[in-house]
Amino acid sequence: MPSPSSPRMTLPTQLVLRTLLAEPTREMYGLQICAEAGLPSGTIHPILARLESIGWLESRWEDVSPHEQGRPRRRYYALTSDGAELARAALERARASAVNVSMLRPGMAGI
Amino acid sequence: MTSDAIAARISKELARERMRIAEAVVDASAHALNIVDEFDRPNALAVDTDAGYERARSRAFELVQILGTAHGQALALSRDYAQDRTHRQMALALAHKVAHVRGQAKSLVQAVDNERTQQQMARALQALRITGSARALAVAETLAFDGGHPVSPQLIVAAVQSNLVEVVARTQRVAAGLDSPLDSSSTATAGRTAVRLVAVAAEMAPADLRARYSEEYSGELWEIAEVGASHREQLAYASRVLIRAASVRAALWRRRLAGGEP
Repeated sequence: MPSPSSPRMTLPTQLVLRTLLAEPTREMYGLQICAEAGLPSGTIHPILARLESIGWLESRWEDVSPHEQGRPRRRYYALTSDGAELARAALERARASAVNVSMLRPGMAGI
Repeated sequence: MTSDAIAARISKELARERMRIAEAVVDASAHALNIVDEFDRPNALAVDTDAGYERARSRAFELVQILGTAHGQALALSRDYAQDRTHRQMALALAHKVAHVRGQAKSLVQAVDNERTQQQMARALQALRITGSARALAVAETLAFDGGHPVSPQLIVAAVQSNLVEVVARTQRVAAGLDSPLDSSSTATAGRTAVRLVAVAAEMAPADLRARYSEEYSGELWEIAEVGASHREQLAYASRVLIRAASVRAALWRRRLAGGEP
């Protein structure tokens, strides 16, 4: 089990983190993250909630008037400074782990 | 240490174990849904490239491993409840369900390895949809622990049998509907249905965060519609949001358990 301070690095989680790390200080909204990560819309809210819950992300409402903009305001997400560092390290660990798994295949036990 | 203190400590340990199982099952279900999503994209099953199958196999194998962990934890919990027949049976039932889903995940790996046919893949993916019920169980655990109150088996059962299962069932019906051609009447109501589905998803968030998620989900739905998404695509979005609403809730709940504010 991953510790409470480190999310399980599923492929979608890695894709979301890589997208955010491309420009760590940039704020992005949900649909934008999905599009840039190549994930279907509506699939990343649990990931964002988990990352926000452990302090890797912070979020805020867009500071606009929906009436003036003619559209609903967006919820923007951005990596915290600690989150960016931890995310980089976690992605590196996940990459190393994937290399190890690939060396075991084919014929893994349990399948 | 007094007997009361020992009892309190044991109760706390059991609560932690149950939380770990709930987390593992939620993670496994989310993972299974991600696999389904991988093949829910337009014409995804038709893209039978080696890279596509490789990705599917890798994800399915991860799922087998996650479910193996959850199964072990459920069995450990059943042993801890040696003196409590009701709880022990519940833990064993959960272990049995997780083992069943794990078998289906293995079938998916084998389908990718051996057959690599669209029919086999479709059958295996359909079987994985049963993880919805496993997810409902995990959510029931989550709800039962909300606020740190001790949980009774009756509460878990009631939660499983309540609207959570209905929500999962409704979502699956919507997903199934996406696979069949739409007639003119369903096209006319799809927009309203998508709005209703994201409203249900927002309702599954903790009370003080429902407004936030309601605005976020409905805002995204609005933007998708604005750029020309068909009613069918809006429904697909709403279904994906609803299917994951329990995972969002679990993530927010875990944060509260850890003492953080949402």
